[in-house]
Amino acid sequence: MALSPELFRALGALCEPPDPAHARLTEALGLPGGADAEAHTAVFVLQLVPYASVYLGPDGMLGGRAAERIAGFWRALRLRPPAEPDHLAALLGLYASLAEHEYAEAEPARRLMWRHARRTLLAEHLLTWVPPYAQAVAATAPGFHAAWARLLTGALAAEAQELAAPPSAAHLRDVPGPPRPGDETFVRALLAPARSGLILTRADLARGARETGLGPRAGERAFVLRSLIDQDPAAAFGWLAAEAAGWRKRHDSAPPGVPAGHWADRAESTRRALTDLHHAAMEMTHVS
Amino acid sequence: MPGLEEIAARVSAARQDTAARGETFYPGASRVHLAAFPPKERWDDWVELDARRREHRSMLVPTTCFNCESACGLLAYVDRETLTVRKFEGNPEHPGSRGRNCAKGPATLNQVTDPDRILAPLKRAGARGEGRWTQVSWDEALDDIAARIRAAITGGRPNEVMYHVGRPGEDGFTERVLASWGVDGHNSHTNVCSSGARAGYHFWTGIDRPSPDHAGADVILLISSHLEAGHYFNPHAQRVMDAKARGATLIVFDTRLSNTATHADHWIAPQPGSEAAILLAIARHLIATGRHDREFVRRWWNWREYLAAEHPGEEATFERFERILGELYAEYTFEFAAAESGVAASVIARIAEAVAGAGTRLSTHNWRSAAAGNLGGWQVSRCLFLLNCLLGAVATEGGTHPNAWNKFVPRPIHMPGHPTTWNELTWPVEYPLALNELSFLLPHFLKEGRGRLEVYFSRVYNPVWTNPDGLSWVEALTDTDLVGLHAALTPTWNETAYFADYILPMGVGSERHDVHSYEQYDGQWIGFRQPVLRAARARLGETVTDTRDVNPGQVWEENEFWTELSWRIDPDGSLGIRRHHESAARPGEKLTVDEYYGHMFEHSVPGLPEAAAAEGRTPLEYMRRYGAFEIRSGVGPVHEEEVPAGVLDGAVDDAFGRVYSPVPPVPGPNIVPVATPEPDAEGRRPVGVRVDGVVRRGFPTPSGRLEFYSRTLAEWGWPEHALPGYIRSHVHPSALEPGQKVLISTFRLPTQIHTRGANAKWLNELAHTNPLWIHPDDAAPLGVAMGDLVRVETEIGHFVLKAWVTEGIRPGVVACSHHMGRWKPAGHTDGGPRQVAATVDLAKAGDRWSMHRRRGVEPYGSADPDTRRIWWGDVGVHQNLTFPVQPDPISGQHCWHQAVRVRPAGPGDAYGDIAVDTAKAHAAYRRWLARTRDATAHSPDGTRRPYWLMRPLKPSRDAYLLAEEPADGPLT
Repeated sequence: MALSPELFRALGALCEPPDPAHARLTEALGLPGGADAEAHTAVFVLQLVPYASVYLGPDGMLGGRAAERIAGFWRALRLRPPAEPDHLAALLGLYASLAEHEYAEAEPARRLMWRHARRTLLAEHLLTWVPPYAQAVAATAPGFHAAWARLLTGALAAEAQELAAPPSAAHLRDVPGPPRPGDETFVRALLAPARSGLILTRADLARGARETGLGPRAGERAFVLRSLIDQDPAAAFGWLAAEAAGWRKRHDSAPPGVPAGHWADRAESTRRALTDLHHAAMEMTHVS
Repeated sequence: MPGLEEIAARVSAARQDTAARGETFYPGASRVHLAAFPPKERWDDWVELDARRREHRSMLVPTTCFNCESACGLLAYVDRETLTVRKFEGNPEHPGSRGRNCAKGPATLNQVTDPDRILAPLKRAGARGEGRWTQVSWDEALDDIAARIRAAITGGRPNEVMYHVGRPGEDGFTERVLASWGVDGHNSHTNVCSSGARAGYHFWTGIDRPSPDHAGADVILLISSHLEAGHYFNPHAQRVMDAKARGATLIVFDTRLSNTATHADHWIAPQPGSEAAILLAIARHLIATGRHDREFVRRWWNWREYLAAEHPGEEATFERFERILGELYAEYTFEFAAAESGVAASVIARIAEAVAGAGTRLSTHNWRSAAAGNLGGWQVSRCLFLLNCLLGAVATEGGTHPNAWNKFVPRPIHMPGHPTTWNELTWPVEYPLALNELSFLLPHFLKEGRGRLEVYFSRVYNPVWTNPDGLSWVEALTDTDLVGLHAALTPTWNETAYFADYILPMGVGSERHDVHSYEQYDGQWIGFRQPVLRAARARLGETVTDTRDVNPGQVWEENEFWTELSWRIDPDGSLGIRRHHESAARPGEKLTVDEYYGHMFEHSVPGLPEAAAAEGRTPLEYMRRYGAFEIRSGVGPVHEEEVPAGVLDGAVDDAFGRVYSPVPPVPGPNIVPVATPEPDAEGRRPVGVRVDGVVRRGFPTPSGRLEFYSRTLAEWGWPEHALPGYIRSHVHPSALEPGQKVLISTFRLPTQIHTRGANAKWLNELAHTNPLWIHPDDAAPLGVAMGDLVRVETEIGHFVLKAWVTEGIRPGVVACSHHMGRWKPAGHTDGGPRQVAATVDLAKAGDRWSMHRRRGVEPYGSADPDTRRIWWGDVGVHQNLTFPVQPDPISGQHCWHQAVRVRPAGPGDAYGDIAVDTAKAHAAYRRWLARTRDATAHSPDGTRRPYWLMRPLKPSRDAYLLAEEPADGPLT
């Protein structure tokens, strides 16, 4: 049985800045407590910005080809792309809207077209990144947002099964290879989720510093990560390899219907590369 | 933990419950919905912080903007403590404007607080036009005016009562007032505005406006500067930009580099008047390459009628018609169009290919621009719509719809019958095919002795300033033999009001009631304008029964004014007028605005009572709360609808498939104006047209189909123009004398509002002058540099202004916006909009008039501290005074483009100087009049005008009969 489109619109609305009207949504969704402004900022502004392009793009940055591909999807539907076409709230709102059109359409051929559009949106622009993203939120954030993330993953997984979403997606086919040791862009590639299979937040890096006993330096994530590696390559790579292993497990445990092959493969490749680097660094340490 | 389905169902239920309470479920600003507005449930007590973090609590009350015809939704923020309006923003509940506004909407606040606005009825104290005024009571003004109107009606002089309107801003209220008086006294501005374009559309469809679905189009073709100042500017512009954002192609024909042209994918700057030649070259390309929609043409064009009329005796097959169609337009090659327009043939070919690729998603629009500028301009819109008709892009998604299908005019509580009289001052016999009143010829008709006026209302209209030949208007208005009484219904001072007997202050957009509906997308909606302070007080539990009680000073609104005036014309009901203005619930009492609109919303707006009931409101309460209601969206191709079997009982077909039925019509709730095709000889009414064996609703034309061939034009004296064609303009290069250039005066400034802006200070600061656009290639030989003074000489005079040397205008063409050049005569001690009007010396010697600018605007002290901060002095030049009237002989549209000479200003010239010879103006009028083919010589049936054509305030059928022509003297 298909889920009400309202579920997705409501889930999307909750990654918008807090508003008194969120109380109604929270209650209807059965989420614990509510999101205050501080928690919202921590999750959606500082740690895990909810834009597809960050998780699907080759550089792990906002905008670029991934965002343009999603804007093109809006245009293909004869819709004007919003200012931020790849924002999760916009995509979930669009998903809900397509479902409503489908359910309201009496003419079978047109109904099928709406369904095809919804299936494409789900497979290409939601399932490609939201499940690992939601896992990162669930792992990072306190109760309200963790519950929101789990509900979102469950809802998308249910839709994936309902619509039999295909596993292949253009976004992921075009992603450059996994991080390769020795490349100039190695650290950047580690921080690009679609390439590495990992989602490393600022909070993750701070945790890594704590767990390895290294000193975290203030700066953007690539700078922080480089400084950790510079301080103690063996410890840093060892911690990163463990993170990659953890992500591999998370991807492997994706709900039925959620295609996680790309993510698991990339996490595994990254784990191996980091493990090699860790061993090499250990040898260098023993030699020295 | 509940399951997903249960959670999802719970969310749906919560949303439905919330929406049923009239509240907003999803918050703004949100990407999930367009909801960056205060939620509806907080409209009674909305809290905002100002820049100093002071809290302001407001009631949000909807109304509609009155600063152009778009009627965009506004939300007035009424301060709960002071009960004054703090600001205006967009109304998210309005389906047309969708919460967005242009600069003119929020500037309504300037009009409310204008320190120079008229706050009480005024009566002239000296001679008319002398500029001295005394305050009078409403009662005195009403009694005087009512007595004169009553005397005219009872004295058998109903045609001496005339109401002259600019922007109606409503759908038929005042026409019905005039109908209730039994006078054919409606006079509009339309023949200086859009009647040319209307004629082109009307001859095709029987409906006089287009409704392009820009948002759904793949190719948008605009013959206008639509994105900055077009009709329905904001609602259409936002949809054009929506389409562009998703990849649609925008084509713009504009001789000037307008803001619209800068957004185009294809911009061409054709020789003015050549637009139809280009359109026909595109049409030829579609036909020659077989890109037209053959099935659409076969099913919906009146090609059988054309073949029967023009090719009798030949085989009447569609294939034969197609061959003829190709031959008809064979001469319109890209090279021909290039020679006429000055646009390269290769560029026209590219545009033609773009149009050909649009299929049924071609939206097109022309409203003023070329259709309003040129002799034969009505053929521009007719040729433009030809492209839609060739591609089948008529009433399709992304195509152009007839406006009546996207408009809803609710049936009111009273519907007076047709007047039984015909007014030759507005509908002269020389122009039987004009779609609108020959309003701008009125001074000449009066001077010729064709009639006189006992009472003349100018209402939100300023013919002295807006019309061509304004000084002939001054001559007529100052002659009390020609105009017995002139009452100016206006919120602000204007150049026509200076020559009135009474100035009656009427409210601006937030101070009056109106209901209206406009074609802005493929849907139907109504908007409700209301006095926002009246509605705010009602929310607080007060009862307001007279809008003057909440408006500034003694400012009134027209609904209540007309009702009161009608009662005073017919106090005992003996004239049969009063009954149309009486309460239905309380017979013998005056109809109130609450009852008028309450009845309309309750009985004539499908779906509104149900929507209101769902929120526990009455329909009137719903409209007072939200200001707009969408009746229907996705209307689609109405012409394809099958006629119900019950209507076809006893129906018969004519030779071309027009179906006539004896079944009487059932009056519906939507009284949107459309043409009224004639019944057949047995009196059966046309109900549809047979298409491939099925009777479909079709179009309101005599044939029921799209009239490629207009039998009306052929039979009424213009057979050579019965098909879409190209008429060379009066400013065609072959018609210009050596040294003459074409002056384009038809463009607006995006932030101005004709004369209604008056002291809208924000708008005046943005735009306050109108220099002459001139190309460097034209300026250099004259020795003219940027900012130099130039003299522009027309047929009847000249004006002096500054040059703006720019490559944004075609060489050989100059341009000046008509949106500036306000003035006030020196010596007028009272009134005048001091932020926007120059003080001038206006002098007359014989037929020669001169105007010299004494001073521009300057800072002044008032209740508004901003008036001391006025930094501009220039307010532009009033060029329209120097234009002769140039009525198109078929459409009646004034052909605005002027043949002029441009010279460097001489030693005696000063900025703003105007010189006009009204004797020359009258001679020009006579010359253009000679182009006409009048009904007495060309009517095929003894009537003044084809009855089926649309006409404001349509008289009864008998009034259409031509009068016996008198042996001498004027026609009556």
